[in-house]
Amino acid sequence: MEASRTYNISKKKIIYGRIAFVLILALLLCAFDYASYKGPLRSYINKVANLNGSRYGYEEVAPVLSFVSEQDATTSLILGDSVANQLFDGVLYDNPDFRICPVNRAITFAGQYILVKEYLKNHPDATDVYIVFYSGTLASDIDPLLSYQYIAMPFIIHGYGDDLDPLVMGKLKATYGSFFLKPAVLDYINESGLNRALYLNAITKLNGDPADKKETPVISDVSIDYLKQIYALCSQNGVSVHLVSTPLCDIPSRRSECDEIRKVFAETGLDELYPDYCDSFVFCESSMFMDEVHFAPEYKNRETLNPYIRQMIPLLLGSDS
Amino acid sequence: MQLTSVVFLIFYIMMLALTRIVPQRIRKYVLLIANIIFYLSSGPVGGVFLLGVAAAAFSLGIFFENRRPGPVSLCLLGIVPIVLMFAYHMTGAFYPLGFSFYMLMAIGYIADVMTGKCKPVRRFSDLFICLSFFPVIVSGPIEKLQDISAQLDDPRESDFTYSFLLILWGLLEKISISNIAGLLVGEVFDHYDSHSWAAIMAATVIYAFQLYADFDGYSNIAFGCAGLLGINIKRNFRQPYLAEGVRDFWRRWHISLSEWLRDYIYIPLGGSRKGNMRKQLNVLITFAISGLWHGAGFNFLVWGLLHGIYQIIENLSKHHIKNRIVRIVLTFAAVDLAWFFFRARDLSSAVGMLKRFGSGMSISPVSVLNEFASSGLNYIHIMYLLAAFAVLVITDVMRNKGVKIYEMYLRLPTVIRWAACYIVIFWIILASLSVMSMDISGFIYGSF
Repeated sequence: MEASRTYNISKKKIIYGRIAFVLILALLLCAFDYASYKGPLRSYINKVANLNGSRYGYEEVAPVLSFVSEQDATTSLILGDSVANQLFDGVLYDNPDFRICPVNRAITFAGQYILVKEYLKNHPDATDVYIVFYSGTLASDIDPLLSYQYIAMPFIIHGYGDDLDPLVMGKLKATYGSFFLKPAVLDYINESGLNRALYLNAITKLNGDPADKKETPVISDVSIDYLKQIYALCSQNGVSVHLVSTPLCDIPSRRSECDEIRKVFAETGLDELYPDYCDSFVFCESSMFMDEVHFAPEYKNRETLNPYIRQMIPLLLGSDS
Repeated sequence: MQLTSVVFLIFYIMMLALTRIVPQRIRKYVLLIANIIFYLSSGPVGGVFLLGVAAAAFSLGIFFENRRPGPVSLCLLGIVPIVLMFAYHMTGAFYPLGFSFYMLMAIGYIADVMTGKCKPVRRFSDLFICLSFFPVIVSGPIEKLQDISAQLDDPRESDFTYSFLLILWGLLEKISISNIAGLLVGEVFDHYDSHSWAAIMAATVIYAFQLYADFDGYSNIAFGCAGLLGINIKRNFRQPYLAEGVRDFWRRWHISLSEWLRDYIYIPLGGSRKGNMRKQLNVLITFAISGLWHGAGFNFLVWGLLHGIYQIIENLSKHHIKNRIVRIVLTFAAVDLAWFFFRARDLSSAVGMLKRFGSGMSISPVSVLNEFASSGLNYIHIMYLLAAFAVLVITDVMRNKGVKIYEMYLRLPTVIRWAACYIVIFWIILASLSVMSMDISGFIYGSF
C-alpha cells in the first residue's frame, strides 16, 4: 500500500513537472513573440532569425498614402503602377501643379481608388486624376502572395478598411481569414519580422506554386468594379479622370491582350467612362524592355521617356522639357 | 506530411494524447488510423501500392508458413523485387512515398516466414499497422515486421525524457545542419559548371555531413516518436564517420539496411561459406543491389559498386594501417568519394564534375568561400551550422568512447536540464526561420 502510494505520488510529480515544463515553454514562446513585435530585442531577434526586418509592400504603399494626403497647391494627381514609377522617376517635382505618386500594380484598382479618394479629400481644388499603367495591370486581383502586404496592411491599418468594398473584402477574408484582417493583428504581424515571416510563409505554402495558377481574365472583376467607382467619385467631385497607358512592349501577346481589353471595355461600358484609354496604347520595340513590361536600364532616362510623357500628359512637362 | 513540420507536430500530439486516453486494446487501432492519415496526406494513389504490398505480404506469409523453399528462392525473393523496383523507378512513373522501405520490410517478413524464423501474422490489420507504421515508413529504420507486431498488443513503458530529447536532437540535426548544408551543396552540385573543382570537393565533404545529419536526424525523430508510442525500434547509426574501415562503416551507417542486406541477400547468396572468391562476388552483388535500391540512376549503382570494391580490397588486403586516426581519415575519404556519385544528379553530371578536377581554376579558400556565397547563405546560417556541427562531432566522439551522455544529462540539476531543452528548442526555431525562405524540404532518404 505504501509502495503504491509512493508510486502514485512520484507519478503525479512527473506529470506536474511535465505540465510545468510545457507552461514555461509556452510563456517563453509568447514572450519571444511579443519581443519580436515591440521592445529593445526586436532588431536582435530579426538578426538571429535572419529576418531582414523590412516590411515590403507596406513600406512602399504607406508613404504614398501620406503623400497624397498632404495638403498643398497641386490640382492634378498622377497614380499608376511600377512601370509608371519608372516613367515618372525624376519628374516628381518638375511641375508644382502635379502630385506624382505611382505605386505598384499589387495594390489593384481598389488601392488606387483609396489614393484618389484621399487626394480629393485633401485637395478640394483638384481638377484631374491620371492613372498611368501598363495593360497587364488591369488583370490585377487579390493575390495571396501580395495582397496582404500591399492592400490589407497599408490600407486597413491606416483606417481605410471601409473603402474596400464587399467584393474585395470577401476575397481578402477568403484568402487570409477574418482574424488576420483585424487592424490590431495586421499591425502586430507588420511590425514583427518573426510573425510576418511565419504568416506569409504559411500563406505561400497554403496557396501552392504560383506557376500552377489558372489564367486570369485581362480585366479582373476588382478592376472593373473600382474603375467604375473611381469614375463616380471623380464625377461627384467635378474632377476629370484619365486612364493612360504606358508605352507597351511590341510583342504579339501584348497586342492581343490590348485587343481583348478593347472588347471587355466595350462589354462592360468602361469605354464610355474612359473613351480615350484604348486609343492611348503605344507599342515600342521590345529591346526597350527588360522583361516585356519594365523599361531596360539603358532606356530609363529622361531623353527617352519625356516624349512619351508629353504625349500622355501634355501639361506635365510643357513644350521645352 | 514531413516529420519536421508544424502540421506533423499537431497531428502527433493529438494522436499521442489519444493513445494515452483510449483503452489498451483499442490503442493499436488508433495507430492504424494515424498511419492511414499520415500516409494519405501525401496523396491517395500511394495508398493503393501500400495496400497491395500489405495484401501480398499477408497472403504469402500464410502460404509459406510450413513450406521451406531453398536458398535460390530466398535469393530471388531478395534480389528480383529490388531490380524490378529500380527498373520501375527509372521509367519516371509515380513512385509512392516510402515504397523502397516498406517493400524491404515486406520481403524480410516473407523470407523470415519461409525460413521458419517467425510465424505468419494472422490478422491483416496487425500486418498493415506494422508495414504502414508512420515513424518509419518514409525513411526507415527497416524494422522486422514481426518485431513491431509483437509490441502492438504489449507496448513497453517508454522513457519519455529520452524519447523527447532524441526528437529534439533529430530536429536540430535536420534543421541546423542538413537544411543549411544542403543549400551549399545544392548550389555547387546543381550548378557545377560554374564552380571550381575545389568547391566541388568541399561540397562533397559537406554533403557527407548533410546526409548524416539528415538521415540520423530523421532516425532519431522516428525513434523518439515510436518510443513515446511504446514501440521500440532500432537505432540506425552509430558514429559512422569514426569507422576504421569500410566494413566497420557499414556496421555503423544505416545499420538496419546493412542487416537486411546481410540477412536477405548476402547470406542466401552463400555469404562466406562458398570460398573466398565467391565471398567477394557475393559482397559485390550485395552492394550493387544496395546501389539499385537507393535510387533511379546508374550513379547509385556506381556508388554501390564502389563500396563493394572497397570491402573486397579490405577483405583481401594483408596490410593493416596501425594509426587509428589515419584509418578513420582514409575510411572517411573512401566513403566520401562514393558519396560524390551518390549526390550527383546522374552519372553524366558526375562525369562532368570529375572533368573539372585539375581544370586549373583557383583553389584558394577565399575563392571557394566566394563561390559558396551564391548559395544565399550568410554568417547567421554558418553560425547555426557550425554550432550544431560542433555538438554533433563532440557527442559522436563521446559516444564512440562509451560515454553515456543521457545518463550525464540526467544527473544535472532540473533547472540546467530544462534550460538546455529550452535553448535547443529556440535554436531549432531560429534556425528554421533563418532558412524559411529557402526551399529545402523533405528528408533526403524519403525519396528512396
